[in-house]
Amino acid sequence: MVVCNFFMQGRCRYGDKCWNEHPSGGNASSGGGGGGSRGGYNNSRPPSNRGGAGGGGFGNRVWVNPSQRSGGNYVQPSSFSRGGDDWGGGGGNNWNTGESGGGRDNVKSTEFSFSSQNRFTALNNASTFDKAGRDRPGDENEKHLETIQNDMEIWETSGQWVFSCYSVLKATISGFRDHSPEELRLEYYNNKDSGDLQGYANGIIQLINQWRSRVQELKTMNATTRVAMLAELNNPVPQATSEGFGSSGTGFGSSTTSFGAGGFGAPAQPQPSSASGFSFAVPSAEFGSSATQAAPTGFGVAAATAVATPPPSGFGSFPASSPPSASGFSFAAPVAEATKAPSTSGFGGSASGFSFSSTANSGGGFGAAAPSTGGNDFGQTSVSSLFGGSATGTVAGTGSAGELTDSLFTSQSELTPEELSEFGAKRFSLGQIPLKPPPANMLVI
Amino acid sequence: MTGSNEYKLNQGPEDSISAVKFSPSTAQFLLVSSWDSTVRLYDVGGNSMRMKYQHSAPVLDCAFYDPTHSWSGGLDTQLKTHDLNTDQDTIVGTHDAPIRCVEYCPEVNVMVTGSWDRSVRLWDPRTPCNAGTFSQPEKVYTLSVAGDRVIVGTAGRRVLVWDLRNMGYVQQRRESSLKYQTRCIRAFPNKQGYVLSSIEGRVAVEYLDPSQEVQKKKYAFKCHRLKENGIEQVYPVNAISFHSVHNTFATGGSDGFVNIWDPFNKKRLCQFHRYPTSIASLAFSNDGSTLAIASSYMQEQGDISHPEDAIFIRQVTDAETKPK
Repeated sequence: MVVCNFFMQGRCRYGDKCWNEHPSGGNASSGGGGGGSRGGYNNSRPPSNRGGAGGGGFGNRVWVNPSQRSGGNYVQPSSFSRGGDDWGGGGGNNWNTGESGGGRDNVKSTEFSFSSQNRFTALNNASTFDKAGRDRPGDENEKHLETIQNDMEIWETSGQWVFSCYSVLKATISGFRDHSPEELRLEYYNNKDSGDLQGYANGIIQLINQWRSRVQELKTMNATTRVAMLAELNNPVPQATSEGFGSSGTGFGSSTTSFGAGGFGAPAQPQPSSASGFSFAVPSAEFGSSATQAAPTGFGVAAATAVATPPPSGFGSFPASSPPSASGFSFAAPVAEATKAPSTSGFGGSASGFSFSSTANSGGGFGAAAPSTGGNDFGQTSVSSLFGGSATGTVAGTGSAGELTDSLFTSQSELTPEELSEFGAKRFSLGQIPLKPPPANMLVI
Repeated sequence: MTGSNEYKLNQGPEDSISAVKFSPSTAQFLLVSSWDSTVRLYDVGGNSMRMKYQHSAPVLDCAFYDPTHSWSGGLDTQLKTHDLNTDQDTIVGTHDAPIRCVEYCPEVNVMVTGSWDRSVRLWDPRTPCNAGTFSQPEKVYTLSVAGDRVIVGTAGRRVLVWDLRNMGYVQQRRESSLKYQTRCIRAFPNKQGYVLSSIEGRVAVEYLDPSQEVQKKKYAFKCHRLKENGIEQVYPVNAISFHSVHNTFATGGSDGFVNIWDPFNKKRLCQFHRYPTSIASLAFSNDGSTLAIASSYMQEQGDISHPEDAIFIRQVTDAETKPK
């Protein structure tokens, strides 16, 4: 086959339909041609290398991609055939790299030659050019943070309904709860009947204050908030509610169309509307497979968050951790949940009711409750240690994990007296939950 | 008021109005539910109240099953159906928490209710009895029927689309494209999509078809915002209602304005005069000739003195509702 000259120059109008050969490795960037009439334009020229330009040089050309050219600004490497000026054609003279912002492919005709040095200078110019117009990833985060700040300001001044959740991109920003006006009015009516309007008013004021402080936090954006926000934005943890989903619990995994792009963008804040204390039901419902109800093992309530970077399919997701609010949630110690597929991300257990108020979410795996379901996967280390002093930070370390997966029980001799007493007690006390599984004989059914 | 196309209904409810719904067959009858625990039936043409029945607590939503039966539910968690011919009511069932929305799906012949107990329940209107309970991730704030599907808007800005004929799983699980709490969702009469409004003076038009090209058409716009003293006041958009023929929709916000929008050309067709107080609910009649506007203070600022709650009936013209 005859090699297509135009393709070599990057301007074959016929593209794939061209009857001549388009060698690969040459000018892969040559744009598609007109396609329409095969006027034989290409064929009318003698299929010879034009103007004595070395044939071997063809493979090395750096081509401006004609498909990227705009309108009349067609870039023609006029020096392609040294001496041929019939290419001079469209606007051959005004290409310098500084021209027309964003045009990355303008190449100086004078620089254009076969030698390898100049080939790369063209590239250099183009690439710096390109970058100037584009944000680096870090900038995008900055923009999001700015958006958050602006939104907070507007929220404060615009008289907007304050009891609303808030989100940027796909991530719900924690710390905001959804209450509809009707729910608040219900509270009002309830309290009016019982005569406790002051209590209602106080509850509302409390909510407003919480909101206000949260807005302040986000507006001023100090370092910790910043980090937390970036974590939330980049890892949109779907904060599912504590209750199981779906009537039969089996199945939202079944239909893949039910998920939009990227699985679960949809976080929710499972917050109560009433001011009184309340407890979540046991968290459950894993996506993508039949729901597993993790055994609560004697723990009343858990709120756990999935670990950072959850893959979109098949992992358990858990309710949000929200900043501890004054309206008494009763959280017992967190529960570790087994995921069906250990290869997917591990799970975290973090109960927000406890010490920290930051919104960082990656939870650590916990050894204590795990043993009842063998073969657990442990998530990443927790950001802040959730149990007072105990070294839970190391729980997720592989050492203990290995140990646990090997044996379900520890023998009594290996346990310290404190741990033994914990196992013997009716409930684990916070901060002293043993890291090793109980001895088999202590398991009383 | 002769010569005008709008008038106020007599014998209106004594407290805030939660919902207004026209009869499916005629523009003459309007069902109104209210925080005074009553559900009333009005003869719109004659401007009189025909019937009234009670619940034991404020009623949050009502709907017609057919021209002679109304269903309603509210804070007393009971779902009641009332026969408008015999003036008898029946308690059909309950939810575990206040019922927030009641709708009827003619294609599947089922009543759908959504509640703050995070469930959507289906009810067979003929027997009548419960036909299933389906839990949602969050409290249900609004729902709308589109053909044989129901679109549920919950707290936490989530939107779920269920297929009423196959409730074993959620057909689509989405997130609202707006940043704040969802206030109202209504489906297009042509069932291609839905309109979602938030508390932040913004409305989003979305499509149900999950394919990329269709999803690209979705958009959102700001509305119901007023500039006062240089600061923009943002009002929640409480109500949406579609004109059944033209596929244009009206929105009502807490600023007291009603706007009519053309979603295909993305233009506002019309804005009515400002009503005395927030618009709580809107309803177009089935033929699109009449719009019922419930202007009723929604306690956004607590218990303050406010203009009287009223329902206005307005005869709308093609000029106001037809795309240009």
